[in-house]
Amino acid sequence: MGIAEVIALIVVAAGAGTLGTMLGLGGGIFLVPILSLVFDIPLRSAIAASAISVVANSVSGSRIYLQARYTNVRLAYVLLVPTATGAIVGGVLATSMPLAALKIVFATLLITIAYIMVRRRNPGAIPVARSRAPDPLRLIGRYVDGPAGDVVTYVPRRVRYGFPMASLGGVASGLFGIGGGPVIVPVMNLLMRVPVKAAASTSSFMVGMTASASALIYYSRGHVDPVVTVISVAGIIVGARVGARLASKLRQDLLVVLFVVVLTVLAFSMYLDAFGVL
Amino acid sequence: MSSRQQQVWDRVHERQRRTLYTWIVRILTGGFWSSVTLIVAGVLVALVGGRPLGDEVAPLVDVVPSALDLNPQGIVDLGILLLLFTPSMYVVVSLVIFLRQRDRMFVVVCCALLAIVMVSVGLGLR
Repeated sequence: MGIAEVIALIVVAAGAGTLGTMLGLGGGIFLVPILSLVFDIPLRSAIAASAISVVANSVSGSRIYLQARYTNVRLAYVLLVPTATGAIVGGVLATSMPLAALKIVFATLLITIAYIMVRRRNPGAIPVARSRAPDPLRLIGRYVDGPAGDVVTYVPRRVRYGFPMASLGGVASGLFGIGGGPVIVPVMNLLMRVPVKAAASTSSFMVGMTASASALIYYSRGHVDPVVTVISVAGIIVGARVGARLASKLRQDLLVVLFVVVLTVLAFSMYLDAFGVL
Repeated sequence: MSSRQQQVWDRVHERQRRTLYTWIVRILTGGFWSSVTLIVAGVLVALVGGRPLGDEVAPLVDVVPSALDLNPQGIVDLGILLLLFTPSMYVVVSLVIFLRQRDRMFVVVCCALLAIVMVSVGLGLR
């Protein structure tokens, strides 16, 4: 790989990390198709690089949320059992299924996300779970929020119903090398009534374990390209930090339009690639 | 349970939680920086020694011997593996903490998670 290509890859990975973080989707959703379509990197190597970037982002970024106590570690561990199992299923499927089928499934995922982003409405405030609800697993969460130092206390509800949904998030993570956040955060927030800040922090902590379960399969089966991976990890981590700072400064509605267009173009390019047209 | 007993329980649980969180943060920080150090060192050895990195990682069993031979590919692979095993390491530490706290349910949960990691390594072995 030449110097120019390395620089281009760093810029693309940082851009994917920035854009993905601004939309709360993670950088992999952009990185994988661009690596595959533009840089001609084998799809499974692109997915592996993305999965390892997700691990790196989780490992480097979770510390602050843990120290602030936004992350609910006990809830994360309980949900990780179905999520990591799903990630293994996804990883095995991705490394076994025909490449064209994997491209079609990935393109369909991109189109689905684009559709959900167009349809998404502000759901309004979600009532937070009562703090005195039964809590046999001691999943109660408590953290200090806001400038006034309000203590937020909650007990996650309907945890067992979250299991099948969390395992689906894991399958998506294993199949596509993306973090499971887009699935797990809504499950925790909408179904279990976990405050969104705690849900996002707990998900950010969880995706490290989930992505590592599938990335180890990619690694062991020889789909990890060290150079592409190292560059992607560096770019995604830098991009995620930039994206987190920019997210509150840019108009979200314009961003959504731009990203829906990008996702749709990437999806159709991937369909064409799968059918051998590109 | 009286409110006094409840307060005592809350204090005990809070102390247990603090221990757990402190150790997880230590593992995350140590794992991340150790991994970054190894990867950067591997890249530097490759650049200085004029030995370019390949486009595929070494099989799992060859990584440590290769890194000990100061092979840049082996050093980078070890860094990537260390990163991938960092989440498993905090589960191991959590398992020890839950064992000491006699929290049987979470001992089982941590064992299940470690079993899942072992399955994923086993499934991919070449």
